[in-house]
Parts: sequence; C-alpha cells; structure tokens
Amino acid sequence: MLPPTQWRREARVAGEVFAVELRRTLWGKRTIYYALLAAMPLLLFGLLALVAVARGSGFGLGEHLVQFNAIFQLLFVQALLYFSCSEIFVSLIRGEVLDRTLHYAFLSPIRREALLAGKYLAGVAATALLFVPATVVSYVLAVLPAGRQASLAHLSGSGLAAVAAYAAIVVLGALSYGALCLLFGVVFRTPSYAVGLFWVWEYVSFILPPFLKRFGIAHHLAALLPLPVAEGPLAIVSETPSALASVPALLVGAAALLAVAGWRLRKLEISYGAE
Amino acid sequence: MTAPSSAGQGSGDGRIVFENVSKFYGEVLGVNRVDLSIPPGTTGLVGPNGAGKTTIMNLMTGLLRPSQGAIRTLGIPPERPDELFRVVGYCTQFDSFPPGVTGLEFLLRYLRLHGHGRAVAERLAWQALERVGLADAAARRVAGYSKGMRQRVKLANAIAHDPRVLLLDEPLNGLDPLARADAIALFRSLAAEGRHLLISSHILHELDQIADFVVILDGGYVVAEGDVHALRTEIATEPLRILIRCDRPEAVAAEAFARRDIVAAEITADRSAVIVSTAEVDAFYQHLNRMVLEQRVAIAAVEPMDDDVHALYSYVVRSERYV
Repeated sequence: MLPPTQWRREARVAGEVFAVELRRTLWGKRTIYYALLAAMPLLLFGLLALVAVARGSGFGLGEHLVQFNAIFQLLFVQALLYFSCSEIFVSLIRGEVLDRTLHYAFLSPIRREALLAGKYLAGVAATALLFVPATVVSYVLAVLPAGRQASLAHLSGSGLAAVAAYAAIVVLGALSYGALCLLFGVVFRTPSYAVGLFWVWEYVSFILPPFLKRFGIAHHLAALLPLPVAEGPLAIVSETPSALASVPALLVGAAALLAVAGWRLRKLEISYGAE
Repeated sequence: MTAPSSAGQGSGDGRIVFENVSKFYGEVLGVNRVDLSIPPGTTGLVGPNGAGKTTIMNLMTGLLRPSQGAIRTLGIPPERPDELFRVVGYCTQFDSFPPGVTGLEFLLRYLRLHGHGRAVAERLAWQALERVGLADAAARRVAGYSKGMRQRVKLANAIAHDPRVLLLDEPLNGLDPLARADAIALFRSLAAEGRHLLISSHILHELDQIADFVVILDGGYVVAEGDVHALRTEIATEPLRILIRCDRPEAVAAEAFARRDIVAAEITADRSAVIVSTAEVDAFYQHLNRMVLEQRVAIAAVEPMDDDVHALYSYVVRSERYV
C-alpha cells in the first residue's frame, strides 16, 4: 500500500501525463479525423433540419425525439463514439509503441499504473470534449424542425434532462469503450481485429440471449436513453436493465478492464523490433 | 577502486547488482546467468553486436523482464520505476522521438514527469541542453536534427534530472570524430562529478579512453571483467579496422599509406569509403582530424569495424587472466 505522500506524487505525475496526452489527442495529427467523426451527427441532423424546414417533415416533436433517440444509439454511440474511442484509446499505448516512443515514459519515475491512469483520463476528457458538445448541438438541431415554439419550450423544460442523459451516455460510453480499447491496445499488436469483433458483437447483441447481452456495453448504455429503442422483429426481447444497475455495471466493468490493462502494462516489455 | 566482481559481495546498495540473471526471447538467448556487482565509476560493457549489452541495460531499467534472477541498481529493483528513475538516466539506442517536438519540448515533457514545476523543469532542460551543446538548436524540431544532434538530445534527456547512475547504450554511434571527442569529454566530466556511468560499445577502443573497468560480453555470457587499461595494453598489438566514409577516399588512403602506423588501407568497392587498419588508433584519429581541417576532406562517418573487434574478443577469451 502506498503512503499518502506517494499517492499525491503519483497523482501529480499522472496529471502531467493527462495534460500531455490531452494536448496530443486534441492537437495531434489525427484530431481532424476525430472531429469529423464527432461532427457527422451535426451534419446529419443539420441536413434533416434544413430539409424539414424547406419541405416540412410532417413530424411532431415526439417523432423527432424518437428519431434522434434511435440515431443517437445506433449511429452516434455504437458507431461514431465507439470508433473514435478505438482510435483515441488504442493509440494511447499502441500508438506510442508504433512511434517507438513508449520507452521514454517507461524510463520516467512514474508507476506504469499511474501512467495508464493519466493516459486513460486524458482519453476520456478528449472524447467528452469532442462528443458532448456534438450531442448537445445535434439534439438542438433534431428538435428544431418541430417548430420554434415547440422546440424552445421543450429545450427549456424536459429537453434539458434528456440532453443531460444523452451527455451522460457519451461520458459513460467513453469510460467503458475507452477502457476496453485501451486494454486492446496494451494486449494486442494488431488491436483492430478485436475492435472490429467487439463492434460486431455490439450490433448483433439484439439477437443474443439475455445472458449474453449483459456483456455488451451498448446494452447497458441503452438503459440511460430517455426513450427505448426498437430492436426490430428479429430481436430476442429482454428486459432493459435499469439505470441504477447499468451505471455501476459499466463503471465496475471499466475499472476491471483498466485493472487488467494496468497489470499487462506492468509486464510489458519494450521490443519495438518485434512490432 | 575495485573492479566489477561477482554479486553478493557487500550490501550492494551502492552498486549495480545482477544475481544469476538470464533472459530468453522464446528459445533465443539474450543473456545467461549473469552475476555482476558493478561499483561506482565508469564501467564499459563491451561485446560484438548481439552479445547482450543492450539486453543488460534494458533489464536494469525494466524495459525487459528477466526470465530468472534479480537486479538492483543502488538497491532499487526495476519493478519500482518511481524510485529507480529518480537516480537513473538511460540514453537508449532507440532513435525515435515524439512527433513534432522541439529539443526543449522533448526534455520538458519528460522532466515534468519527475514532478518538477514548469520553472524548475525549464531550468534543468536548458542546463542539460547547454551541457550537450544543443542550446542553440533547442527551439528546432528534433525531426530536423542530424544523427549526432539526436544522439545529443537523447543524452540531454538522460542527464537532465541529474541522475546518480547514467546508462549510455552505444552513445558514440554515428558521431563524427569531432562530436565523438566532445561526447567523450562530456562523459569524463559526468564521471568526474561522481556519477556511476555504464557505457556500452562494440568498440573496445572507444571505452579505454573513458572507462575504469570493462565487462566483456559475448553470446549472452560475461566472458571477462577487469581493468580496461590493462586489457587495452595487452591487445594493443592487435590492429583495428576503421571505415571512413568521405568524399575523397583516395586522398585518405594515400595519406594513410604514407604513415608508418597504418597496417593497411583499402577503398571499398563502391568507392565511397576507405578501410584503414591500425594498431595506433588514437594517433590515427588525430591525424584524421588534421586531414579534415587541412585538406578539407568531407567525412560522412567514421566507424570502427566489427571484424577486428571479434578478434579482440577472441584474444580476451584466450587470455585466462581476464576470465
């Protein structure tokens, strides 16, 4: 067990790692790619809003909310957020291995677990900074076609709670997908296979038995959605978990994945030649 | 000063201690049953490519994990990086840097991981850059540095936090003769400050100018340890081959033939270099420096060659007094 002074020192150094990684993620060579992924819903809902204003959507506020809910879960969370997380979090360790720079961090006076924590939190912060604003603006764009009066009334009332729920899903998604992808980056030399497999798992989980659905992250994130998402006629219907069960499950799951990643990172050897 | 000796002697807290350390990469041997207790001072790790020098340093610093055995540097195991790298600086052979950083940013990034505030980190970074002669290039991107400058900025990174133990893996690789002389002077001054220097090289000659002691490795085994000067005297009659890449190899070869201390000189098939064999390496390097200045020969690289180094190791292994 570390003494309190040691904890404080590790936390301070992890904070330095956090600052460097956040800057690297938000101002690095791949930032435009992340920003484009985050901006895609803006383009989509912006276009839908323009079409609706120009030609009339024929939808009321309720239909617009249902439409946003489905697109948010199936496109925004399960595709865009997931692939952004895979890029951001996999590169935290694997990217440094490919750049052949990880040894500099390993030769610094910081425990590898603290290094991992600093990098992980930077990834979560970067993802949240990119995707929470995108979620909020997308939501506004999604309800605008319902009319100025209706959308303003909604956004100043129950819409706030809905926006907060969607933002919470983004943050929880970043925490969970981030921990998983960070582990992939520590364990696998070519993490893209694992990333792809888990993505398929998330998309086919609706036809899986309820017991297996629990191993998906999207399944638990769906518990926080303000509206349920219809899974289609082929779905094996199961009870949607409650937010009270899902949030702790996601947090505990992320912590467990991080613990495994920390353990593997502690054992990681630097052998760039083998990469 | 005592020479490196078998582990287990004394407490080992002021030493670098290897106790029965082996490292295997699958079925490939890295190092095998290494027992060392290295005292303060400058110690050379010598051996041909693949002998296990880098493996020894990577094991010391936790970049590799031993298959068996234990390592302690001043009493600290590699599993405690938070303590180890307060006292250890390691200049690796990896010639890679975080993308886009300048020399100063590179040093600051890792100095901040020592827990220093911005002001202290900047002061230490500038001190280190000045020490390696890179202060003028501090604001330039490392990607635009020459090989010698990259080597020096790595060295600055290794010494910036004022470590008591400094590990330098082939630090003279790729340096031209003048930069080589500067680097050797820097190593001497670092050692004179009471640091513990462990320097690897596949060129024994490079180390006899710097090291108090030498550990000779071959095929993953420690084949000899001892006083480097005595060892060098013993092998002084063995000529060393030096490859000189330059714009006028014919001129260098002609000069070499005119010297009595040159055993042989041959121009390579691609006519881009000359290979000189000499037993008096110091004198030849001094002469080469004069040639560069007086005849304006543009030297691209000077590299002592492996073949003769292998001969030196054979000599060492044959000589039982060092085993």
